Amino acid sequence: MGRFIIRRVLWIVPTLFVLCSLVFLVSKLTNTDAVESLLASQGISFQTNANYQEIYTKEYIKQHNDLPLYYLSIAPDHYPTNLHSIPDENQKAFIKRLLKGGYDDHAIDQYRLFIADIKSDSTLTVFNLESYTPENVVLLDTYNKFSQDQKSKLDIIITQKSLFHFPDFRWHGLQNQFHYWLGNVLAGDWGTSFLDGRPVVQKVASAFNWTFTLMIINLILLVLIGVPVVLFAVYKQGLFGQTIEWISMFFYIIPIFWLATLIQVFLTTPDYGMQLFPAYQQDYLSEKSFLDILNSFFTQYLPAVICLLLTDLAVFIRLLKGNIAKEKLLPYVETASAKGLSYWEVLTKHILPNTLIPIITILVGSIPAFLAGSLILEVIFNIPGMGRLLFNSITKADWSVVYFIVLIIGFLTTIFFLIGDLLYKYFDPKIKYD
Amino acid sequence: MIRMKKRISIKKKIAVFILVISLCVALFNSIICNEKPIAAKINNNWSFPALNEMGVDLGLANPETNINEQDYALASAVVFPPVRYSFDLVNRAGNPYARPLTQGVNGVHVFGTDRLGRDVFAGTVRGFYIAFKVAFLSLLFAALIGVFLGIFMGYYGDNGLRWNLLEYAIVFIGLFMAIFYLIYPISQSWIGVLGLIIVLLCGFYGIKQLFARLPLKKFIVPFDFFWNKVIEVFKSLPALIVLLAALPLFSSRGSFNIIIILILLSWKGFARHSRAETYSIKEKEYVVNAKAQGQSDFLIMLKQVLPNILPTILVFSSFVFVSLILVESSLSFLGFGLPLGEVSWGSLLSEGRFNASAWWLSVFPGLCIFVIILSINLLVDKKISLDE
Repeated sequence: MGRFIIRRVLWIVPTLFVLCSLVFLVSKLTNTDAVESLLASQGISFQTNANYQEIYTKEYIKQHNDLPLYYLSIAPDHYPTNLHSIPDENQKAFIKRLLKGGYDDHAIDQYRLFIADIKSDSTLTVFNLESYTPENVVLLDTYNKFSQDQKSKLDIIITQKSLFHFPDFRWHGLQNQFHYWLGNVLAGDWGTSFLDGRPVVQKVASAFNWTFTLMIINLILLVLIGVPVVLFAVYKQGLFGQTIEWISMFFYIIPIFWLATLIQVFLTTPDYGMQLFPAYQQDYLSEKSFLDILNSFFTQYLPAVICLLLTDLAVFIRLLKGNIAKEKLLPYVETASAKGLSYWEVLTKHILPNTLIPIITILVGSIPAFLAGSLILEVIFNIPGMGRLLFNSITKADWSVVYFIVLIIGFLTTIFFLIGDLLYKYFDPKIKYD
Repeated sequence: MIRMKKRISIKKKIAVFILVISLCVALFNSIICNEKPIAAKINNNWSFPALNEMGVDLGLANPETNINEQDYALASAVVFPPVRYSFDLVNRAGNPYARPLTQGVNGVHVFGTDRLGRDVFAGTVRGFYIAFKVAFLSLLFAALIGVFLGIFMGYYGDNGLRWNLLEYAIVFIGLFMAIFYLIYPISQSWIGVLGLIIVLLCGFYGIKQLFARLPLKKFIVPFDFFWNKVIEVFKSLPALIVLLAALPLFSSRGSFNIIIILILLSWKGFARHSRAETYSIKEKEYVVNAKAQGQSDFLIMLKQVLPNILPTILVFSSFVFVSLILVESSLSFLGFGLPLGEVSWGSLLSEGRFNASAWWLSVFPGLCIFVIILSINLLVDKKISLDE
């Protein structure tokens, strides 16, 4: 057991490292300019500051964006190693395009001649990427002034010169963007949100409280309602059992966002005379009296809790019922009945503990998935939780928040899977993990 | 031989009927709902605009744009679809939020209209096409990748495969080169890229088989272990969150992007299930027998293992199909993925959310999703298992 825990805990480290690397590298694929957004959030923009380019470059280097992305890079052998040292995004994209079409001296020579032809200016030097100079800006400017016809001609010249290339391994050492990022992350600095300049951790933490409360209420109600309902359904099979079966089937199948939409359309508006809940409104828990909190619970939480509860209850009831049906066939049930216990006592004292334990462990394991499951509900019922924060951050391209949430959920999933496995093993010693 | 007549319950018959109808609706959506005629005779030439749109949807034809709307008025013979609205026909007369069964320009709006005066019935029919396209394509490719990987994992396990060091080297170099030339292609056409990769892989496989005959010390290949770890990393993120975080990375909006990410997310379930099934099957007599007869591993997997795990995989894919339809509609509900102007169940539902008095927007598309999921569940009435 001890060895199992240690091994599982040790495996979390490489899993998280891979997850971090993936999230970081994917975040670098977004076409939003992080430096530009950061400067914009400080009120510095191209229009307001004359020396914007200078400030931009300074910030670019300060954030280590001029370093290679990762410890190791694999690229075709003709790719320059210092592509990231070019601060201008457009220029970088242009050079990447040039490279993709196959980049050799001949193509570049032709390219130079082509430009000389257009500008009748032969002073341009050979385009040398290894030593990045401001002259290259001229190249891009020239390119941008081309007509569409000229551009396509140029593209043909570049693309025709594709050359068979071999992979080149480059070891960059610790001087890379990921290493600095990881260092910051481990020191607790997750960056700030571009939208309002608040630290990411603070923003996510306040959202997490809402989602966590929702989850805890849901879990408690789930067990409090689910267990008695199933017990009665099994005890009194007849009509009650059938009804429960059909209702749970219905809510098991109904898509949660449709249920939520129906509740929102029919039960929170006065249009159909069935307004059970007040219409949703935009308010937050902070600096409110208890009554206000209670009120906002009913305006925002209750419909969401009902939605979640109904769909989760359906799964829970079906799981528990199926398990009890399986368990009832086992010999120990017969022994207990032979001992003279009533059916109810057999059910509650012998069968229930044996069936509930695996289900509780499954519930624990499914907690992180809950964070994703509540996303749509939070968006629909306007609850300022993790899901809505994630949704808003994605639609507004606030990537530092997005990837922090993704990493947190990945981390929690790994941890809760482990806890679920351990609980399962603790309650059921028959299970062996090798 | 006694013929056993298998009785199929009425529930299952209804479910199959509904699913077949939905599939037909998905395939023929452009013929069912279109303002253009199915067939029109203009100047003694027959043209088939609605059929052409269907062909474009299925990737069989190129769009035809040489016929104008006014031409149909001049046509000598016209066959119109049953509903003369297409999903994206914006009503210029301005008929927003018309109630169900109100008279419109081209006939009755059966399910009413939306904010832009578009017919909701046509949108719902289009929803079948979008949902089935995304779910079917991603299911197909995810199943292909997942099942084969799973069979390999289950069949070889952790010590079924033994390579010597040279083989190890060749396999790693081969895979690396293939991935490398996929990311940095040397040719501009995708046929060239794919051709090179196939040639590379075949060549390296041949060399590996040659090296296998060398009398060198062999080491076990922890195939199962490795892929289990990969699956673990993939499992640690909920699908919807990965989709939401990854979709904005694509420069264009379209269902193709969703399909690619869904394939990446759903192969692992197939791999896990087919692995577990193969594990239990590989000790069976017929597999051991085939091995004793000297059949190659690949043939055993294809002829003995695959047909025997197929029923389980089919049951599992029906559940994956349901979840894929749900993911697709929740994505379009949140406003991700679909190109602008396209209509699906999710987009109709989200429109209904912003105008509560237009109940038809939130009822009918949701009912379609519900009915499809219900019929799949009736068809495959398997108790949900613990490890779901």
